[in-house]
Amino acid sequence: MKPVLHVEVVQKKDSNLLETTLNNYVLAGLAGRKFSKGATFKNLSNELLSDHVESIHICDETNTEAIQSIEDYDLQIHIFKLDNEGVQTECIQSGDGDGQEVSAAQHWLLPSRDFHGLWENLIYEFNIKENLLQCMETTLLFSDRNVSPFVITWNRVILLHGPPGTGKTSLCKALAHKLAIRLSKRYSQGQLLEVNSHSLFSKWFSESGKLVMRMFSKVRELAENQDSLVIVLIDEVESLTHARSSHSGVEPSDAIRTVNAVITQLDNLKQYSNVLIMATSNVTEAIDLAFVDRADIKQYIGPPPVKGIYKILTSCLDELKRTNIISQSDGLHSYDFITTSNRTVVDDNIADSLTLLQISRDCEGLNGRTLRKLPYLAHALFIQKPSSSLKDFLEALAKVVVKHKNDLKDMKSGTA
Amino acid sequence: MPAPVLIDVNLKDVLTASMCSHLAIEFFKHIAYQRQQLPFPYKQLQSVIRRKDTLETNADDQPVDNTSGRTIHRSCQVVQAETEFKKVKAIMESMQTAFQCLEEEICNANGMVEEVAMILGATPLSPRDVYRFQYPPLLHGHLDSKHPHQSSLLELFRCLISSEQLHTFFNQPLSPTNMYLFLRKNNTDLVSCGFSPKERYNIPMSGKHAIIRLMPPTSLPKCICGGTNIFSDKPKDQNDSHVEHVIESKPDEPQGLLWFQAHHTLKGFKDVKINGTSVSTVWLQSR
Ligand SMILES: Nc1ncnc2c1ncn2[C@@H]1O[C@H](COP(=O)(O)OP(=O)(O)O)[C@@H](O)[C@H]1O
Ligand SMILES: [Mg+2]
Repeated sequence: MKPVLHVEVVQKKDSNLLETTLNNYVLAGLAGRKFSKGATFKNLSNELLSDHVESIHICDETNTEAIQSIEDYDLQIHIFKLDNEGVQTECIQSGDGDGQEVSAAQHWLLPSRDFHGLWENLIYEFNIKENLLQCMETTLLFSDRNVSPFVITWNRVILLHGPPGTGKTSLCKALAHKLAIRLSKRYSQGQLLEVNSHSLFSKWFSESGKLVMRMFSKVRELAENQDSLVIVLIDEVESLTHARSSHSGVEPSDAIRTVNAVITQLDNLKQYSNVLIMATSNVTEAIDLAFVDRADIKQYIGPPPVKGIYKILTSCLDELKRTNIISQSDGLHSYDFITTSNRTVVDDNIADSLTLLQISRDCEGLNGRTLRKLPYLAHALFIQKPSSSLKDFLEALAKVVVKHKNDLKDMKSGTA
Repeated sequence: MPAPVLIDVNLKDVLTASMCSHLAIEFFKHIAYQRQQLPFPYKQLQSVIRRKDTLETNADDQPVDNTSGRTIHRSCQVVQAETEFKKVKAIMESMQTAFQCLEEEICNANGMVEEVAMILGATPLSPRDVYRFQYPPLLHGHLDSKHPHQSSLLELFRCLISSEQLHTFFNQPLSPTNMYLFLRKNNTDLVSCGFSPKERYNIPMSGKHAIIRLMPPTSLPKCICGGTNIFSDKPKDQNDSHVEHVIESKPDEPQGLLWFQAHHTLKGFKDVKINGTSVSTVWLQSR
């Protein structure tokens, strides 16, 4: 069996070519060329392609081997346009009878420019994200083909949980985006609906149940379109379920009714084969058990290990190089190279990589959000000029890490 | 889901391509206002913008009055009004461009466009309202100059205004949202400036739907422009030379017809009040 190779082709917004035609152009353009996995082509020399194609991305970030011939692979070409409209607000009648509308959900058409590149920049160990993607693909295939859930069990609801800032929300969005791309042959359009759990609680609390109903009937309307993949994201579910216990002047029975309404509605959604539900939670214990029960995949997302940290920081430094904030220099070595190879000569390149490795080790325990902020702080606090060398920047980065750790300590002792 | 509202407009004169576009555009402007996406009728908004622009150019010619106190006093409101003006002007300009593109498209396609549609809602997949505007086949060779639009336009609006069902649409509240323009034509002609083909797109069933159908006159009025009674060709059948353009179409879909979406999305907006006065009034107040 030939290994599968996914090729993502972003068609230009105003290109009028039909998919089948462009598919042939792409095949012809790729034939006989050598490239490596994970590569992205932006400026296409082939004229037919450059008129119609924005970029071509060869997937598989885990394994950047060179590809000798595309004939050795089972090519899966995905052609799509990115939606440029961005997020839109879906409104429903507020139910107060005053003809007012409240926003119920954030709505993206997928694939969306908002999420393009997000997937590639989320870094996790043990292929967590690739596995999640494959699970979701299988789920959708099985439900689309009506595989009996009584014979084979599969998953419809995923829950990502873990400490804040570890990329859970981003991962859900990136997953939705990727699924829409990978399944574009089956579903003509993907949609991501981020439920606004706060606005589901009406100021007249007893109305909340109705709001929830209206909100979900909207989702069902979207799901009626069998050609469309609908992904519902409930971010920070604990905020919904918190309402049960911590009633801020609200009748707890109303809160419970609302949460129960959400859970019932989620169960109802399961009959649609083109709907997936994703939820995130920053706390694992406090989530309502009834909700946890409904999640088929529960994935813990923690802070990245040293290897991940090294990769995240490298991607930050590359971005600063691209924008000339760090002056041009040779690329940093990969984590695997720098931790395994026997080095006889130590050139600048290796020295820099070793410094970054040490910084990464010092950063252990920090989450992805903080890590992506460190280079910014390093520049603001210790560089303060439009351009600097990589060596100077690394020095600043090391200082910031020390400062950050001290700040954390102060905060902890301050609250104690 | 409730059945769509059907409105048949029986025209008394021959349809030309430019009349097709004119009627559709006037219809969409009407809808935009009636569905609370424009705070005032389109024409009125345009004229306010034009007058404000003229005021501006005239004001630039005059020496600036630097008596300070007044400047500070008016600044806060004026700044707000100015910001609002820029926003509204941009929206209206983009709307105008979109309509121009639609016009060009219909005129260039010369009878190939079978239908245009405006979808109101957050996305084209989650419509609140759908307004479809369908054309009959056009007759060959009729000149625009000999077929003034006025009588057909009147007939269209007479039908719109007398439709009770359409009025029930207008009575439902709708916050400012997006208006997406679509047109449907044969996929053998993909050339287009302001529109891109949206393969496999079908207008969703959800939301409220109204379909306006233009009906050609049953007996042709005497025509002096030399136009014929022959329908312009519509390549309805796929011929072999277009194999690579074949798209999957549903059984109920006419072969080869494809929706095209406008690059410009129209944005609805509300009137802003400054100290209880409509901002559009503030724009025209002398400074
Ligand atoms: N593992 C990671 N790899 C790369 N970036 C990460 C990672 N974790 C977090 N980030 C960054 O942190 C930002 C915030 O993440 P977010 O999705 O809001 O986290 P959460 O929802 O878990 O609180 C993201 O934009 C992302 O760039
Ligand atoms: Mg989050």
